[in-house]
Amino acid sequence: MAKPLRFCETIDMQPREKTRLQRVQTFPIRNRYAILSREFVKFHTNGFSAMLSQYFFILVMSGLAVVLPVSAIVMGHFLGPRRPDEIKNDIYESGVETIGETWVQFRAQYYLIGLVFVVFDVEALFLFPIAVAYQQLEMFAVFATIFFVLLLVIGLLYDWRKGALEWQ
Amino acid sequence: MQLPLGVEVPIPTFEQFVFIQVALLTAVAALAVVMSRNLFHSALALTLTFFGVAGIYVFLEAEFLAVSQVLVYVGAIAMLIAFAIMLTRSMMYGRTSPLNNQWGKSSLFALLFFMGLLAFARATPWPSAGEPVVADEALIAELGREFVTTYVVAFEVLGLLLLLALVGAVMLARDR
Amino acid sequence: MQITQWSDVLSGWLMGMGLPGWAAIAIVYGVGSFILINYGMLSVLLLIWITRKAISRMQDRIGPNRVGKYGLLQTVADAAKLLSKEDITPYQADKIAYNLSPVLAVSGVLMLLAVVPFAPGLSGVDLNIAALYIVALGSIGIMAALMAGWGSNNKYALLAGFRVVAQLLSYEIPLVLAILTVVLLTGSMRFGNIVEIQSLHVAGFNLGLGWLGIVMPGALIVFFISSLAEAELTPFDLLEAESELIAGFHIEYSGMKFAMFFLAQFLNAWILAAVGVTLFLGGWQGPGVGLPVIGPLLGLGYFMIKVYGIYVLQQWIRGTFPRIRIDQMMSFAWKVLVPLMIGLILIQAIIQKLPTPVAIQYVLIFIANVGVMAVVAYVLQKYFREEQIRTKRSFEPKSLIGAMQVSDEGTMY
Repeated sequence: MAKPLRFCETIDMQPREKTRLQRVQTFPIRNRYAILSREFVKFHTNGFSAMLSQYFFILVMSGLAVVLPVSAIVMGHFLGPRRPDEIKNDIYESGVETIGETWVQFRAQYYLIGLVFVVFDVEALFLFPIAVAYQQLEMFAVFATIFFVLLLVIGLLYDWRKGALEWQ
Repeated sequence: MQLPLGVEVPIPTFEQFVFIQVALLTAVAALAVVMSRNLFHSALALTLTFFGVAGIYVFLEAEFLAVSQVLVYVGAIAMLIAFAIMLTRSMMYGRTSPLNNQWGKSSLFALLFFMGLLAFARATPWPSAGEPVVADEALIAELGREFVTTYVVAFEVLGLLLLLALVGAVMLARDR
Repeated sequence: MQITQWSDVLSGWLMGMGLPGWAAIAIVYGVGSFILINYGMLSVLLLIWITRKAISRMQDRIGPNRVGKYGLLQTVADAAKLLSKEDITPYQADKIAYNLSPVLAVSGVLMLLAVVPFAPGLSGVDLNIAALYIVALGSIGIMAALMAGWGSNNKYALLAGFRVVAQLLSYEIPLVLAILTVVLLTGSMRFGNIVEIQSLHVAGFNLGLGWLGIVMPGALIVFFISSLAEAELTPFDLLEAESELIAGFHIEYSGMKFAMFFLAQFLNAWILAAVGVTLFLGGWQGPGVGLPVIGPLLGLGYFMIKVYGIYVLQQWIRGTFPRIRIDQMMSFAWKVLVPLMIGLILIQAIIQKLPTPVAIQYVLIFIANVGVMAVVAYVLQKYFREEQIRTKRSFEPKSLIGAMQVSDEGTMY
């Protein structure tokens, strides 16, 4: 049993890596090409694993993917004229004046489609890792997978017969 | 790093710094879910919370779990919640107060529950990560193999549950 | 010639300048994603030009030809015009949802560019779960449509928003199942791996023609149809039929916010084409990509040719197909595409466990695909013939039929 750790320490880097990191930090850069090596980069990124650094790219990109459209919109906001008036800011419903509240009640049909979607989404999601492992599965596992899919097929047929898939 | 009241906190590494940001985002979004007066804004904040949880899964190097979280919760459950808001007319106009007359008692219980969780978290001997996990495709394949070998009963029961959900959906949401 | 190596080289150089490691990585990743995002946003100018030229040719027009050579600068001029338009917020709109929605719509699509493999070793990141990442981030676009519909305080926008959500959810299932067939065959969700597998080595030379679309044409066609629906292109664009209805959930948007929705829509079509090419048409694979120096350049060329080719095909369909009704659209997803894909997956799963060599399995999968498609086509044809008779009967006035029968007997006069 390992020694109990505080929460902050559990995500700390390993001692082994720490010592290597310290060694690299005092790395005398005599050979100017040493800094181009993979090793050098790896020990200077504070123990980011390869996978985390991939998702760090995603994080950076999501930041930029929000900032750039926002800057375009803000630029448009300042470049364009601003002359609001009563009629312009009114909502456009093909020229007819709006009657009543916008947020009217919707039919249960949408909810039904949503429910059926959730079920098939979860099913497909569970099938993905099985598909990745499929080459090494034994016959029993294959039958289990096919049985799982067939259960869902029964559900789909039931909904079909009950007319749940009709759009009224 | 020395905080007031003599608390000693280690200087966070960059990874920990990013983790703290993600955790804060999740917590703030979760708070916004409860505090928002407009129900639709609560649903949006809930979506943000789901993203934050996915981020925490990424920090655990459980990328399949993270992407499942986004796919199921953001892609489907958030939609269902939005549909449900639209279906219940009285909830749509929002502007309801997030507090009712039992907020005092419930906050007391929430605080007690949180203290209990905190004590539990501190008392648990967390396994320290031994060798760093080699997170590649083999891990996902391993997960898939476990579904249909070790946990095959649970897996088939899950299939049955999904079947029941399909049947129940028709019962629940049929227009009449 | 891998971008990861490029990033290593760059970050190593920056660290040599005395930056801490995390800052160097952040800068390098920032530069990489900046290039990707700008490529995405600027290529839309070209995409819109292609669309307008292609569709105007189909409609016997010339299309834009005044601004710049062949009208190439027309979309630039349009973008500048949109930039100078007034930013109108409708009365009583839900400000948070209304303003957040166009940003989310674009960023959700731009994020997909991170995993597209452009050339050997040239992609943002090669995630282990790239196939699911594409589907998962697609849900941001759905959320954006719902927010736009809700936030605009407009009945039509809200109705269109809800219908778009129903459409996108319904067609996501066949899309995911089509991706699942590829994962089942290759045993990998990584786009890098999936493209590598589609090489075809003949006598040590990489012909790059082992495309999965050849092995499973059925899954390819289903993927293409559902990607049309996911990109809201004709025949599935009934919710924003510009020529007939108001524009759908983004009716209340103007200026740059409208431009953002427009951008997201075109880029989404392009990226779905790129994902389809990666999964089914070999990605950057083609004759000679294994060559040492010009290989990656050739790969980039092949990838772009294929993706823009598919894009033009999408626009061709857009220019020629009629729209379908919403009930037909939903029925087509749930009653045709989903059962078809489940059937294909089951058959493929069984074939892959047959004790035969892999080559024979591929042939069997091909036969199964063609067979299942033929059965579906036959059933559909039969159904449509009956439907035609039924609708004809219900549209003909009863009295007229009676009158004609009377006149046939010659007792009318």
